[in-house]
Amino acid sequence: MPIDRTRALTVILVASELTSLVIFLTVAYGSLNTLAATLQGERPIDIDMDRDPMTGDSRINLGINVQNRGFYRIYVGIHAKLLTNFGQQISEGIDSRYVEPGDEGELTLVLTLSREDALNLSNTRYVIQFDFRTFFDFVSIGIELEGSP
Amino acid sequence: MNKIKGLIFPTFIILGLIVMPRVALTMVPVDMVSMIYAMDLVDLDLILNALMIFGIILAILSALKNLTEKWTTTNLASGITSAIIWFILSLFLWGAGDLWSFGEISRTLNVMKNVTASFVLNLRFFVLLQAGVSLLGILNIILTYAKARDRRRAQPEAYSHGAEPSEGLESGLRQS
Repeated sequence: MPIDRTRALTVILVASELTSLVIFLTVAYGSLNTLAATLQGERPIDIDMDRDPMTGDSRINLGINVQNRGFYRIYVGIHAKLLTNFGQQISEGIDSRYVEPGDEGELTLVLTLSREDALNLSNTRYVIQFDFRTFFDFVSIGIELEGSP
Repeated sequence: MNKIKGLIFPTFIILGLIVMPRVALTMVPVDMVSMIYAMDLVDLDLILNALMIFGIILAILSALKNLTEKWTTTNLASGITSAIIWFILSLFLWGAGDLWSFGEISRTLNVMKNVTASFVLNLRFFVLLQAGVSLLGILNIILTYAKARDRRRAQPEAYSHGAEPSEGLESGLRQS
């Protein structure tokens, strides 16, 4: 019995539509669930600053605990920069990792500042870039925060 | 030609694209709607008006497609136009009101004094997926038209009485 091409195509069409709908719903649900779980977790964002009493140099430690509550592996990345008001870079930190579904991962970065820069912190600007990718890196969200302390 | 489909499908399209979004918006808390307007994240009026225009066009095309015979060029043209317009509508929605962003939504907000947040949401994968599905849909419409036209050419007398082509009718004619 010959296969009816139009009927076969109709079946493929319906299957493709349903697949894309399922992918969208699982990606949207997983991303929102991951965001909610990360923000509601115990100490989701950890920032502390310590100073070396001998040299006066400072270190800003930033930690983010990401909890993947979605269906697909996620990629999370953070890139932080401290700049002078003229745009010159003072310090930079970067970290990224893949987190499997149901798992959690911690992003940590350290920004080191000289004694002079630490004293002049009110005259600096910061740029923090978050990168979130899911569904085999096909769907992504990038957030950039820019401001001054 | 299917008169029932010709009435039901346009009604569903009007309900889904014109009535339901407006009803859904009335159910959203007023604070949230005013926040969306204040932050200028999405132009809700633009989206609702565009959905209404798309809804009317798609309902007319659906009625045309379902109320004409499959072998007519009107059926073919309305089917292809409908598939293209559905794709344009999906581009519009994936871009949150921006047709030319092709699924990449970017916004910049002043979240606090001295703090600016900009975000980019990349949904191009879904746009590509939709483009593939639309192309398959157009191919299906063309194949259906070609098949119906060939059947009609093979048995013109069967169609002159307004009868639907069917396997039973074909075998009956062959036997006679």
